[in-house]
Amino acid sequence: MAFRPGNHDRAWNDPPIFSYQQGALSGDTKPEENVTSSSRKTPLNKRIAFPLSGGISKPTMTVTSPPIGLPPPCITLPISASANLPEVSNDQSSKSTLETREQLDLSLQKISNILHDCLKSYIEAEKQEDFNKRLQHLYTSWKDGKLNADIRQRLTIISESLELKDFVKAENVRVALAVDYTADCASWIMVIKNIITKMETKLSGL
Amino acid sequence: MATFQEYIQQNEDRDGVRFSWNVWPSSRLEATRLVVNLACLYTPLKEKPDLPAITYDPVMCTRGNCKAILNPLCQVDYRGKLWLCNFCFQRNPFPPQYAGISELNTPAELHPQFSTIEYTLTRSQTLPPIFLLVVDTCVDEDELMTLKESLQMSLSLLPPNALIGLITFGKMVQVHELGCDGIAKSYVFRGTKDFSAKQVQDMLGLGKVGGAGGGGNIPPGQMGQPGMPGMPGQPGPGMPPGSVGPMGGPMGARGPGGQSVLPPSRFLQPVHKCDMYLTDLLGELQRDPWPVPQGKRPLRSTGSALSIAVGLLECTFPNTGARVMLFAGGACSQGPGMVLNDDLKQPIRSHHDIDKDNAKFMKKAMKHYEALASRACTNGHAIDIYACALDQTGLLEMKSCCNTTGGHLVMGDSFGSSLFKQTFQRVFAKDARNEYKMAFNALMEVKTSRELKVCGTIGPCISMNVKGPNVSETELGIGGTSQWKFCALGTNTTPAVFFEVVNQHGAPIPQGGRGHIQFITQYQHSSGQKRVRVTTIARNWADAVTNLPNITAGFDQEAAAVLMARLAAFRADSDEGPDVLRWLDRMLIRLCQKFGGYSKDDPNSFNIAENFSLYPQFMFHLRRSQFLQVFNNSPDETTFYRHMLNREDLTQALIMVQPILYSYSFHGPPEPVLLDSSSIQPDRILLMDTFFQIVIYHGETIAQWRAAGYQNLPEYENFKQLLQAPVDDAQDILTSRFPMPRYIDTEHGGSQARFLLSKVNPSQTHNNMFTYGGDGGAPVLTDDVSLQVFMEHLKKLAVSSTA
Repeated sequence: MAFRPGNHDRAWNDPPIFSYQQGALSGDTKPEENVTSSSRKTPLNKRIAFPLSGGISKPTMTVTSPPIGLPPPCITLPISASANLPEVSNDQSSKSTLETREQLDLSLQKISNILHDCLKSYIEAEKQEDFNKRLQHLYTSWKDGKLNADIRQRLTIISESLELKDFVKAENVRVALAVDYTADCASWIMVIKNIITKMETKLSGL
Repeated sequence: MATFQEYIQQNEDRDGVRFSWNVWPSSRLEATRLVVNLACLYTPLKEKPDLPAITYDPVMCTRGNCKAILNPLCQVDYRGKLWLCNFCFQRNPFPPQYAGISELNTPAELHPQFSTIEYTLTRSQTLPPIFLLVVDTCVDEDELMTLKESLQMSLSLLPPNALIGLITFGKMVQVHELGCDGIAKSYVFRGTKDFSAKQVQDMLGLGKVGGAGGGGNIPPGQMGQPGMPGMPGQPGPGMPPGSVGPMGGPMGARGPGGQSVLPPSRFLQPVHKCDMYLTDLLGELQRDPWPVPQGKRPLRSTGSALSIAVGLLECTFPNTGARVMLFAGGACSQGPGMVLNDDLKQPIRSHHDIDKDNAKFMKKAMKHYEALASRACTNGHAIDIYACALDQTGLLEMKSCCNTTGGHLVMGDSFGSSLFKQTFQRVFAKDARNEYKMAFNALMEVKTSRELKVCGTIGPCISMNVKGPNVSETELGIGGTSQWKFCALGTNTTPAVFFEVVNQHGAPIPQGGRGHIQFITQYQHSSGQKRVRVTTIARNWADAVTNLPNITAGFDQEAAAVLMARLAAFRADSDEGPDVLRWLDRMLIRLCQKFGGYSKDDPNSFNIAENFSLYPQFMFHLRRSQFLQVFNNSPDETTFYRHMLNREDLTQALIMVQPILYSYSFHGPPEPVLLDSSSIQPDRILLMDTFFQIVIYHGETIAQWRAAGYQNLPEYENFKQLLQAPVDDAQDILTSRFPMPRYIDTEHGGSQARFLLSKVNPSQTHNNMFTYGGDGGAPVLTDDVSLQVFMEHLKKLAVSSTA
């Protein structure tokens, strides 16, 4: 699914922005995002030959198209289900906001602890101060609410992966983060890259 | 025809090759009578995840002027441990390591399913790839900011052991030192001058070109292992102890002669070492500070900057894979290669100016960039151009940089556009094995049976001037050679190779009944390994006099259309437009005369085989395409479109020639429809793919329903799904194509609908909409000839006894 619309202020007919997918840029949609009636996409690779014998016949799907003013064909839905849906979702959204507020500081604490430990254990002493300074930008942005939920979630995944020493996953998520949110991450993303690389190198014995 | 279609598809899947003719005429005379040249589109680095990893060197024919590689088409004497070269018929002994082969124990290279195979030359080491960013700072703040972001982003996508450098330019050109602690340092050059490699070398304090320790003369064994960066105090293998070898490059602190040379890697450092420094440096880049007077353009020294970049790489890393990546936010307005002056009253040249010989900077600028391209090619360095501006940037003059080196040419409106950002991301795309799709410094050689000669290639490459025995006197495209260099190569890069049958008319069918062609492509993989991809194919000969139906059945109309399109675009670069169209028409008429069935002078009797049936339509759309009709396009746009046509594989190139059109409605699943105005119906959504654009067009009724918001109501969920279906289908294309296409969502009466209307066959126009009758679709306001009229004329000319 498209991540964001294109930049129509600076470019005409700008395509939408898709989330970065390393390795396989085939754009597979997640099942829940696919709203078409058939889950199969149509491969767009066929052509029709022009009939040599004469003019073009009328389109085979001659439609008795409804006169302008009539609505499209509709489907009927059971009335009870649709009435209940709105209420349920409202409750859930207010609950989730409360939970997020409570957990924000906890998540940040956890991430900063992990990164701090990694710095201390794997990064040369002379670089630690510089790296810490850059990471402060990250923490400040987080506290000031400048990092959106997606960025925060990805950072959580990265730090958890570092804890579990799953460097492939950490690096994949880090690259996707760097590509999708370049402006937000520029000041500190390279620190995380260096941490991952250093940890991987040292732990694999090279 | 189904069998031949399957055969053609299987061959493309296995070998990445599509021939215009799959059964070959056995004489030169008959080959010329077939009208469409015997030629193929070949994708040397087609993605093949199932290829086995072969880590031994290929076995070559021992005849000096042959050197073809052992392949499944060779006859093998298992007892005598000999193989017969299928090109020169030399009997070759197998090397000692093949002592154990037998009928039951054959190496992969003899298996028929490995007609395409890849060898990794483990004894050859190369450097990791090198990326030299050349960045225009004469852009506004927003542009510069988004460009900087993209460049910072690329640091996360580059191979960590790749070397990277930075040159910025505006009125002056600055070469930045990387990795220096404390104050940032750069060397400033005047943007008005051209600099030779020697001058660049002297001014930057680099080692001697070609001399001790300075150039690339160090044999591979002395280079550092890729992936093992030279840590301080640890010299690479073969280097004298104590010498500091930053990044295992050929340059050490001391050359063999003992003289100290400054390591040139001050300007080109491994990404993993300087990523943070470079992130900060890029973040701090400022706009060109020189004030621009009223009515004037900024002074932009693109030509000089590119010259310095090419020179820097020439004297530090010759003969190894590298990319110069030029980011241009406007046209070069001063110095060598300028395409316009700084006076805003004088616009950049248009097609009309060029026709009237009124483009005063063009020839000189083209010469400058051609010379740069030639130097870059000699060293295996590619030049990419990422041009983002609302006006032209001089791509016409700079085209040789990309067309001969194989570098990318990307044209966008703004560095802030998602088109540029995502296209740029895809430069660093990886395949299913998580390896970069880009390859470097490739040499492609073509070997043929003696009945065939090579006329030339049309593709993003340069001639290596190898005049082997199979080089034809006739040149088509880049000819006079059987070997070409591609400084940069991708998994879709597809040159067209043209052949000539040299057997005399009346001579018997060659022994064995089949002709053979072998493509040998040596290249530098992004990991630093040297690899060799070998594709060997064979096709039957047939006597066109006695056996024409056999030859006819093997015609591949799609390949033929793309090959003709490339030939036409190639001609259009030097010939007048109308002459090219006349040539194209003549070829089409001759083809119909030769292969159509008809009674003389009776157009209504004309018929043609199914595997030819799309070809006239392809030619019709080609004639009115932006490749041959330059009206309404700028010279830069024409250059860009032709550049893409000349490098993409068959499927993508054919989309450019004749776009694909699919229809979505409530009355059935999505289906392909005629690229015709009659396909435009009020209750349909059309999805058109032109390669450069994805257009989703909503018919009048659909548009009204959408405007009324029916898709937001739960009981019209099916309408919501109908609206979403083409968007979903387009997604695969949008997320994978390079470059990313523009995305146009439009509707009946919308201004953007012109992209669809200009492409469809105008069977209904303002001239005939009342005579055509009934439900014929939307009229197109044009005086262009329709496909019906075109076909009627074609049939008339084809059957005419006086033509």
